Amino acid sequence: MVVKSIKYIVFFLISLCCALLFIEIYFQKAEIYPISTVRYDTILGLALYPNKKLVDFEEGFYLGKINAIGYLGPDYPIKKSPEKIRIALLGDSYVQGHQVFDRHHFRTLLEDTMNAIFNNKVEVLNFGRGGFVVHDSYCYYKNFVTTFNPDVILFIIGPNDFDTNMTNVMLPSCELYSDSIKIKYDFNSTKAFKNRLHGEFYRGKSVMLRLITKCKEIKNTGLLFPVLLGKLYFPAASVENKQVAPFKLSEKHRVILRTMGKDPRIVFVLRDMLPQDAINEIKETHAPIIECSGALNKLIQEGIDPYYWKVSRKRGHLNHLGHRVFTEEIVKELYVILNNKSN
Amino acid sequence: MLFNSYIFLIFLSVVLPVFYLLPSRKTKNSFLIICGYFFYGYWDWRFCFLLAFSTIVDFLIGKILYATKNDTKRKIFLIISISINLTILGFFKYFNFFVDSFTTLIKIFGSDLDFLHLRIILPVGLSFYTFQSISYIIDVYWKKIKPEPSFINYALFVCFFPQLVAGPIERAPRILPQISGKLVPTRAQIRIGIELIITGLFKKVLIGDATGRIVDNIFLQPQLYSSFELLMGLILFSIQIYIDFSGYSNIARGTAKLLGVDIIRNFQQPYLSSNITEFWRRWHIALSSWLKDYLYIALGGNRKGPKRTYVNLMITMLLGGLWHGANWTYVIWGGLHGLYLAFHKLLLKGKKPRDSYSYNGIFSFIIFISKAIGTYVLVLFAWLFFRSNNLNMIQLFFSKMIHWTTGDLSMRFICITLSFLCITLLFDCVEYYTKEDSFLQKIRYSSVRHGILTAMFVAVCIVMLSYEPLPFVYFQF
Repeated sequence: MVVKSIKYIVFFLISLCCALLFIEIYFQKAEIYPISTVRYDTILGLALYPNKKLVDFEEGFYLGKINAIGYLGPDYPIKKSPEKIRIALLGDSYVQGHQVFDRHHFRTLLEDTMNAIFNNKVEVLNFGRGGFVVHDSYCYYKNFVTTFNPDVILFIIGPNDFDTNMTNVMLPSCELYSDSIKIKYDFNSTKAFKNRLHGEFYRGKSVMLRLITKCKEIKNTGLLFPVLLGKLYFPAASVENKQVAPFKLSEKHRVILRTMGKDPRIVFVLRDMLPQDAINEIKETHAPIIECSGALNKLIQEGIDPYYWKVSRKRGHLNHLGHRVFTEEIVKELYVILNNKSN
Repeated sequence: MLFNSYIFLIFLSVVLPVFYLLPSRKTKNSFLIICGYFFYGYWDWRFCFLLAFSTIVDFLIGKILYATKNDTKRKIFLIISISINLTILGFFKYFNFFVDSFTTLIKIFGSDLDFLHLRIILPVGLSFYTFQSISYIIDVYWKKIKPEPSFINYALFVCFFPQLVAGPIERAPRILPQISGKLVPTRAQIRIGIELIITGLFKKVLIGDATGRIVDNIFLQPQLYSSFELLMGLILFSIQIYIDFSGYSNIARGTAKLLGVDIIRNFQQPYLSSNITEFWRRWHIALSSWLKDYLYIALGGNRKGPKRTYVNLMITMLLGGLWHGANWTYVIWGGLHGLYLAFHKLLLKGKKPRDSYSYNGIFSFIIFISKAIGTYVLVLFAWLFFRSNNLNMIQLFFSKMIHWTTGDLSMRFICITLSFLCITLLFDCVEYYTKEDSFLQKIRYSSVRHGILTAMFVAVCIVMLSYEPLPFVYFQF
């Protein structure tokens, strides 16, 4: 009886593991969900893993790849050719744009349009990173983007980029020292970083483990019961009536904007309506500003939402039309800026 | 509620214990009717009244029809019942289609009928339970069966929740005796039922939904994709529609088995058919047999000469296409299959085609594979019309095929498509060889069976939590 039970358990576990392994291989080959595309860098913290494939179905349909150097788009080398005009895109997930193929992304549309005007001399590099806010973008700009020696850096900002509560233990942090910003690399020695680094080694290579991590995130964000109960879920009134605190631009972000504004290559691109506080600070830097929110909001008023995804029925990042309109708005101003620079 | 949702699993985990504990058949059946209406009402509670109305009308007409001796009066009652059912179906499903088609026509003469266009919501499952009710009335008319004396049993036949919203379209002679009998599942039924539910969920969630996310994006804006990507999208759609519906049918059969009811197997590896006639014996068996018995044979079948046979075949397939949806693309799809079948019939010259393949040497295997690929290509071509939203999309597809482009993601698309093809073929080959869709029952060791099923169930649960479920493709019909 005992032997029979042990035999049952052993065969059960072996067949369970074999079946799970088969399913894991299938998940990876069919690209049901991406494996980890990050690596750990002692300076950059969470950096993109070169040559890793990406797939995303959250809103649109994205199939892409991180290039051989560790950013998005074609493999333009770190050393820039003197005759080329290099434009760097810096920002958050709206810049990263993992909702459309690279060929439909405003990076490519911008590059194609500018090359038609400037005789194939323009290179556009996409340094957008999902989850980044202003201070993360600043660290990335200082430690990575500037090494590519761009002629123009389009710093694309939205209202959600000023959230000071968004801190990532896997990234360098910014500390304010009187009127300057100092980047700190304490993340390397924190226990949280070491645990994540260790865990990600295993989790990052398995689609199923990454999906389990996603399930945990769903549970932690309070979305578990709506998923389980569907229409029978009735949220508590206190959740629905959550009050949003009025916006106040933090001193740290104020100094970051001021510091970046001093770089003659920086062009601030306002992709959406920003709080007045932030707009005023950006204007005071006297850096060029490209305002795109008007064109995008006009579409919404006409009943065409540039952030709506029909297949997933979600409202989120720029859709294909949004990317096209965004490109048109940037091109109008960027042409003038580049012309002034070349003169 | 969708079968591939946690709420359905919760619903089932509540229904099954209560069902098993209920003492008598009558209370079990009554309980299942309540579950059926709850299940249906979860979509939209208003359409429960429509379901109830259809049930009451057909139950009463069935009784009157059987009691009437006069042939003319019997025919009148038959026509009344079919007319009521088809009027309901026609109004909810085809009203706007015919208004729009007629509007396009009379716009040539400068007139307009846009004001007639109504905002009509199609009740889910209407096409399925309407056809099921019609088959009952026709069977009573043909005296194949006696009308069901118990309203509770008949109501359960119509609203049996495993097959209520997307079939399989069942026949009264198969289901009513089971519903009227002991509804106690055997151990074998429970084992097979659980396996069918888990494999059905695996197919639906891990293959059907995964392909569906790609297909829906490609077919929403086909102009954004290269010719090669469009072609891969079409192949992925052929996988999606088959796996999605066969997965659903597995779950429906499995759930029914847990309730002690055996319902018809709806798919038998149709993409392993060596000719188009065999394809239609293996694809959506419930609907194709319904169309054959109640439409093709009623029109005369092959009893009125070869020319009339082809006409009957075309009418059946055109109407079968139209059943799927209110769009000319479905009619074209049906018409294409009608042409395929008619041509195949012509080639056969009265000979009966083989139903399945059995290995007879490598040469016969190569011939079988070639024929299966040829049949698949014909079916794939027709799927283009089925999936396209309108004729402009079809035109765009052909234009892209003529002006061929590949794009930078071709290799990725090949790998992804091959992965889905391989896993679909794996399921199909095993089921074809074992002649069972509960093929895991063939494994001798229960521990191995349980290990595999547990792995599949765990994977399904993880993905169901991570991704929003896609509705079954056939729900829109």
